[in-house]
This record gives sequence, structure tokens and C-alpha cells, in this order.
Amino acid sequence: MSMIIDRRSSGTRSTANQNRLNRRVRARLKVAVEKMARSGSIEDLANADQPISIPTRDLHEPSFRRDLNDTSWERVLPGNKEYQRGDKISKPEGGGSGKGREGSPDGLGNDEVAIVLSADEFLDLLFDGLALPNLLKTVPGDIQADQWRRAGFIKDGSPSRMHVGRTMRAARARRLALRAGKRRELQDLLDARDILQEEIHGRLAQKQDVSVERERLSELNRQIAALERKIKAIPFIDEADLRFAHIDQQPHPITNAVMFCVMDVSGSMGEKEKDLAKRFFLLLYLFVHRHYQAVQIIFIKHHSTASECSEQAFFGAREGGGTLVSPAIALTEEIMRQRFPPERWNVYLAQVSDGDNYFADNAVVEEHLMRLLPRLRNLFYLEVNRDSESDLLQLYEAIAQDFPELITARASEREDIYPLFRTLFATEETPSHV
Amino acid sequence: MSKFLFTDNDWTFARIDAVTEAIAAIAAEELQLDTYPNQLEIISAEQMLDAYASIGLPVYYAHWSFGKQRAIESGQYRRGEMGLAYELVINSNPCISYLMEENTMTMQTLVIAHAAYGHNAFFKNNVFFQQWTDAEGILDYLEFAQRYIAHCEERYGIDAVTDVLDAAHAISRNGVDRARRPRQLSARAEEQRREEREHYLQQQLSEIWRTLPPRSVDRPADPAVFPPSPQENLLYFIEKNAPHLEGWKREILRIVRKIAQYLYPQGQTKIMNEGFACFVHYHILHSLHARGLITDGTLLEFYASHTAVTFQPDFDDPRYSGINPYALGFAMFQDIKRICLAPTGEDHRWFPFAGDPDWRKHIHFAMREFRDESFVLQYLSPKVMRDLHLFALSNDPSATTYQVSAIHDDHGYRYLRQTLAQQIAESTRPPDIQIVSVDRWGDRHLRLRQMDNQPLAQDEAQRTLSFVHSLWGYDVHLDMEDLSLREPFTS
Repeated sequence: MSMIIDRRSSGTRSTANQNRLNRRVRARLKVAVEKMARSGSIEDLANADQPISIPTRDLHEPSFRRDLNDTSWERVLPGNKEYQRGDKISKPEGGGSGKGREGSPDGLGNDEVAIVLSADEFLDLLFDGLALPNLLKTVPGDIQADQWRRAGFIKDGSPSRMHVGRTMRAARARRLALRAGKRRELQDLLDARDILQEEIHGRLAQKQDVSVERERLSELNRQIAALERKIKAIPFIDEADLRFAHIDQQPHPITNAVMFCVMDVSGSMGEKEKDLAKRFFLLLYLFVHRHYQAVQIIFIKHHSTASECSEQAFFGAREGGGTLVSPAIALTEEIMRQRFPPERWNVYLAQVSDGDNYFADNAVVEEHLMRLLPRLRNLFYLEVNRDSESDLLQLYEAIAQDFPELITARASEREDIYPLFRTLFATEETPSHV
Repeated sequence: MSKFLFTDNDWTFARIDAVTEAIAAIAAEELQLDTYPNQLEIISAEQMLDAYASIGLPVYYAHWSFGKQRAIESGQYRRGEMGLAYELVINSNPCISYLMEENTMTMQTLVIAHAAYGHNAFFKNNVFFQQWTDAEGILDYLEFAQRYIAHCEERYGIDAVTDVLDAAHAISRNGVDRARRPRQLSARAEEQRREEREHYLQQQLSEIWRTLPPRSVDRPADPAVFPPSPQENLLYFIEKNAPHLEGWKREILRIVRKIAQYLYPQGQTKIMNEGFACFVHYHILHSLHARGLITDGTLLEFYASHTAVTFQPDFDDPRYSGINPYALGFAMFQDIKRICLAPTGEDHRWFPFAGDPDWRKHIHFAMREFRDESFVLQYLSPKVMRDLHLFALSNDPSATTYQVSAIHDDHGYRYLRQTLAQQIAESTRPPDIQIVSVDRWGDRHLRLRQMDNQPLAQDEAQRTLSFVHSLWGYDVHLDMEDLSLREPFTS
């Protein structure tokens, strides 16, 4: 007897082992992930499904084993061609511990294990210990939106929402309740009639008078008929049985976010500065994205004027001219007003600039920011590639005294971005005490 | 009308059913195989990799090392360095064989013959499997183990459980009773007894570890060495005698020990097990062809796979990676049949059963009563040694050359056979390390001694000892027999 079972649909069972492996090499994975964040290509970072290789010596499982080097041994081998007993064969040079392995296409040898992280695991490691500063400060009513939710059953409603199951249940309950008393009464009357009929038969047999009993019998029959009519008259379904599914509007926190990326594209922003900016925006995007269902990105480039553009134009563009920051802030405000009202969206603004703003513009920027900041979750400002702080940065820092949601930083090398990011968002270490 | 069971090469459940029936008939009529009932399971390549990672067991507890194994193997598989086995079979009753969905119908036929009849019969009849494993109880026991360890992870944390498992795995090869026949597994009884054990164990321990002598003169009056004789089963000894190990940790050691013991015969019988399964599939496929049930094309495809599996590369071939157990085992079983049916004068001198036409009897006897080491000693014939061109090479570390100590000639046959058996024994046996004493009245240190004279890999030994130390809780020493390494390890 044999049985054939199709197991293919039961899937793989390696997840638990994989989790424990990742847990064990977490420190190494973290180093690798951070290295990618520091200097890897942005595509790697965005896709994050590159395998991370871990040397197997980290995962070595020791046991009592024989040491086969430098000992005397004797082995039987197959494939003798010309050897005779007593022949001597010179040992290979260099101890003969074997030939080197050839490289494999993905650069992994047998002494390495490749671990592919899921996007979530990757981000968990990347943002381990970091938190958005303003995320938890939700003002009641601030990020709420109404949503239709089911809310039980009601007795009145439009026919299209009638709930058949509930209605039938109610009808059955009503029928049972209304009939039960009458049925019991009916049974009593039927029993009484049986007794009476027997009595009549008895008296007749003894030739006694039965006129009183006959009268009672006809009275009983009338009552029984009336009850049966009543029982029949109970309707199968009644208007009172109808039930309708109810839906209600309930407030629901908004889970959508929008991130405005504002970049200076004046002549002073070269490839290197753009790369810094891109890295900064991407990390911010990934970070913000972890907290919300969906994140929209709006790209705004500016020199002396500001315009909304595609991602490609954003990073590819190189335009000349003087720099004015205020038009970009004004445009952000305008787009927010039209498309992303802050009561429905979590709005983040990330701005990268070399700080070269036309001097007189700073006052205008301040004016705009004062209006804009209360409606933002955060404004991240990164100043790139400068030897000293610009006036713009100083202005921002001054504003940040009153508005903690404004966060500023400076960077000049690609490798700076990720550590900078870590310091910006490190959760406050609670002093350890025993 | 043709009787062919299949002519094109796609498998279907109906075809597998029909083929299994035909094979069962041949196995019973022509080979008189006694097997467990079969359970054939169709699985995907991913699931095959899963099964690899857990040593082929269908249910296993979670541990990072299995994740590592899977990562290595799936890497090799994806790079094309390693093909997946066409089958995997579990020593259980019913006997579970995995068939990969990618296999052609010919391959499924081969796998059913090889695994569901060859290996299956071997599991059921070989004396080492009979004595060391319990095919009835293993699936239940594995489920119990998985449940229990998951429960411990929940209760004590994954890291704590991992630490115990790491330590237990390190000495699991030294956790098998090699000389004594172990008791059978039974998951239900196991579960029932488990709690009982936890409660009573501490009492027994108190007896060994009594620190307050009830009568003050007891102590010098008890000079007996404990344990009274050296103990080879490190896991068992520690499970029963470690002074402060929590109950659940002891239970985990027990689980690792039980599974190591279940797997022990597989390592002892690799050549025989594979050789016998190849012998069976070879016979069955030919018989299917002779009965007109499979086409010439199927037979040719079978030959291609069969020769690939039983191919033995020469020692100087880049593909060489040791003696192929399939090749040696298959050659030896085929040779037993040949010695029965067409013996030469040489065979008559070497084998008393030569010329006995009842070859099934001798095949069955060989399959039942031996393990690799003794099988080679008993049955490796001069003909097989000549066919494989075996020769022995010896290494003296101080010399600049290797020496050929024997070749496949009249002088060499017996020597080769002994050397090969010795080599098999050493590769299947871990270094012989035993527990010789426990300082019961002093600092409770545990003394291990290496009983054979093969040098140990030092670094490994040190790290393994620290695992022993983590379980024992007090100092652990290892004395080595090799004079040049007399300094004891301490951990």
C-alpha cells in the first residue's frame, strides 16, 4: 500500500530558521547595511534586496574533530594508473592544502553565506534606534479624517442595506415568543377536552344526564378553534423584524504623508552636491515611509524662481542664475493649500541648499516660514558644501529656537549623510541606572 | 496495444500510482523485499532545500544553524554548483519519500524504486536501524521536540534556548550510546514522563551533590571515583548529572541526544544504504523494461542518471572528492550477486558462499547484518578493488613524499580492505572523548579524557570545551592521550 500526498502547496518552512540566523548575525548585518547607506549606490539602497554576505567563520559550529594536518595517515584512493607498491610520490609544494577556489559569478565562495533581507528587515536595521522627532506629538483632532465604518444593526434603513440573516433571526424569535404561550394554552384545552369526552362516555354508559357536559364541550371547542386561528394569524415575517446594516462615520487618523523636496539648482550646486541631496532625500523618504501607508513626494527646484518638476528633472537639472529661497517656500505653501491641506496630510519638508541666498530674501523667507512651520510635521534643512555657516542657516537656527520641528544640519561628504541622519533622529538615550 | 505505463515524460498522480503498483509487485516477487508502507510526497525545489537544511527531517525545531545550512545550499544551488537530490527519504513508519515536482516521470520511477523500496527495506531490516532508531515513534517525537522547544523559547527567550542548543549541538556527536542498545522513543510516554522527570531529577542530584555530609565522617569514606567507569555519552552524563542545570535545559539536551541517536545509524551505513538502494533500483528498472512496462527511451534516461550517481572519479580527477558511497556500495552489492551466479576460482578462495545460486539470501543477509565498516571487511572483493583501481597511500609528516603502501594485487587486497574499513570507521566516528571523573567533594570540576590517539583540532576542541563548561557550570578539563599534547585544556 502506498499513499501519495501533494505537499507543494504547504510552502516553505524556513522562516523561523532564517529569523534566528538574522538575529545571530544582526551586528554584522547592521554594519553592512550602514556601509551601504554610507557609500553604496542609491539604487541599492532603494531596492534593498542585495544579498549581504556573512563569513561562515562567524557561524562556525565547533565540535571535537580530528586534526588531519601534519599527522601520519593512510588512505585508500581510487583510480590507480601506474603506481606499484613502495612507490614514492612527492608531496605538493606548500603543504598541499588544496587548490584555490575559482570565483563564482556573484562573488560568493563557500566560506560566505548570503543573506537576503526583506525590505522591512533592511529598514529596521537601517533605522534601528531612530525615531521621527515629531511623530508622536499628535494634537487631538489634528490628523483625523472621517471614515465610513460598520456600526452594528438598526431597525430602519434603506432596503439595499437590509440584512437578511438578522431579519430572519428576529422573525423567528418573534414567532417563537408569540406562539409559545398560545400553544401551551391550546395543549391545556385539548387535554381538558379529552378528559371531558371520557367523562361524557362514562356518564352515557351509566345512562346519566350529559347536557351540562355537552355544553362545556362545545364551549371548549369554540375556545380551541379561536386559539388555532390566533396561532395561524402570527405572520411569518413582520415589519418589526426588519434589520438593516448600519454604517457610521468615525474619525480615523490620517495615514498619508507628503514630503516636499526643495532643492537649490543654481549654478553653485554641482554633481556632488546633488548626490548629497539625493542621499538625504532618499533616507528621509525611507524613514518617513516606514510610518505611513503611503508617502507622496513633491519635487520643487529653485534658483531665482521655483517650479514643481519630475524626479528626473529635479536631480538632472542644472540651472544658472542667482538664488532666491523664498519663491520655493511660497510655492510649497501654495501646493499645500491646493492639494495637501495639513488637516488631511502629514506634511514634511526637506530642503537642501548651499545657503547662498540673496541677502534681502532672508527676511521674506522668515516671514513665510513663520506661517508655514506650524502646519508642518517637520522641516529638515541640509546645508551642503560650505566652509562656514551661511546667513540662511543662521536664520534657520534662530527660528529653530522657537520651532523644534525645524531641524538643520550641514554635510560636505557623501559618507557624512548617514551618520548625520543618525544623530538627527537618535532617540534620547535614557541614562542607564541599575 | 502496448503495456507501457507511460510513453511521454510528464508525471501525473495516476502514473505514479500505476508505477508504484508495478514496482511493488517486482519488489515482492523478485527481490522479496520487506518494507514499511510507503507515503510518497510531492514537493517543490524550495521545500527540498528546506528538508536539506534540517537533515531531511520533516519536522524540526528552529535553530540558526539550519538557516545557515539553507543559505549555503540555496546559494550553491542557485549558482549551479550543486544539483538537488532527486529524492529524500525518511526512516519512519510509514516511510516518507519526497519526490520533486521538477522530476520527469522516468526520474519519479527511479526515485520510487530507489527510495520507497530500496532505502525503505534497508531501514526496516538493517540491524543498526532496528536497534538504534524507532521508525514508529520518530515523527511524533520530532513534533514533541519542536513544540517543546518553541514553548521554551516563549518562556525563557530565544537567546537562552539558542545558547543551550548551540552547546548541545557541539557535543551531539559525542551524545550517542555506541555500545549499548538504547531504549526506544515514544513521544507520548516522553511527554508523560517529562514533568515527572523535572520534579524528581533535582532530588537525585541532591544525592550526588550533597554538600552537607549527613554523617561527618562520610566524606573520606567515599573515595570511589565518580562516575565508576568512563562515560562515552557526554550529553547523557551532563543531562543527568550537571549540578545546576535547569529542568528545561536538561530536556533540551535530551531532545538533541535522542535525535543524534536516531541519526547515528545513517552515518554508519552510508555505503550500504545507498549501495543497496542502487542495487534495488537497478534491478527494478531492468525488470520493468523486461516486462515491457517502460520504453527503451525511459531505460536510456535511467542509465544516464544511474551512471551519473554511481560514477567514481579517479583520485587525480578535479571532480574527485573522496570515495563515492553510491559507487562503492552499488559495486559491492552487484558483486555479491555475481559471486553467487558466476563465481571465478578467486571468488571460491575468498568467499564461502560463492556459487550458491540463491543470491537473494546473501544480499539480504549482507543488507541486514552489517554496517559500512564490517560490510567492507566482509564483502569487498578483489574484483571490485581491481575495477576501482584502489590503492593505499600513507603519509609520514616528516617525509617529503607519500608512499604507496598497497595496490590492487595479490599482496595488497587484504591490506587495502582493512585500510579502507579503518578509514570508514574513523570518518564515521567522532574522536573518542569520555568523562572519567567528577570532583564531587572539591571544586566539582569535570575531567574528560581522549581515549584514542588521533590528534584533535586544538582550536575547535577549546571552543567545544567552553560549551561543555557552559552546561556543566564548573571547570572542565580535557586530557589528551597524544604525548606531544600533554598539557590539559582548561575551560
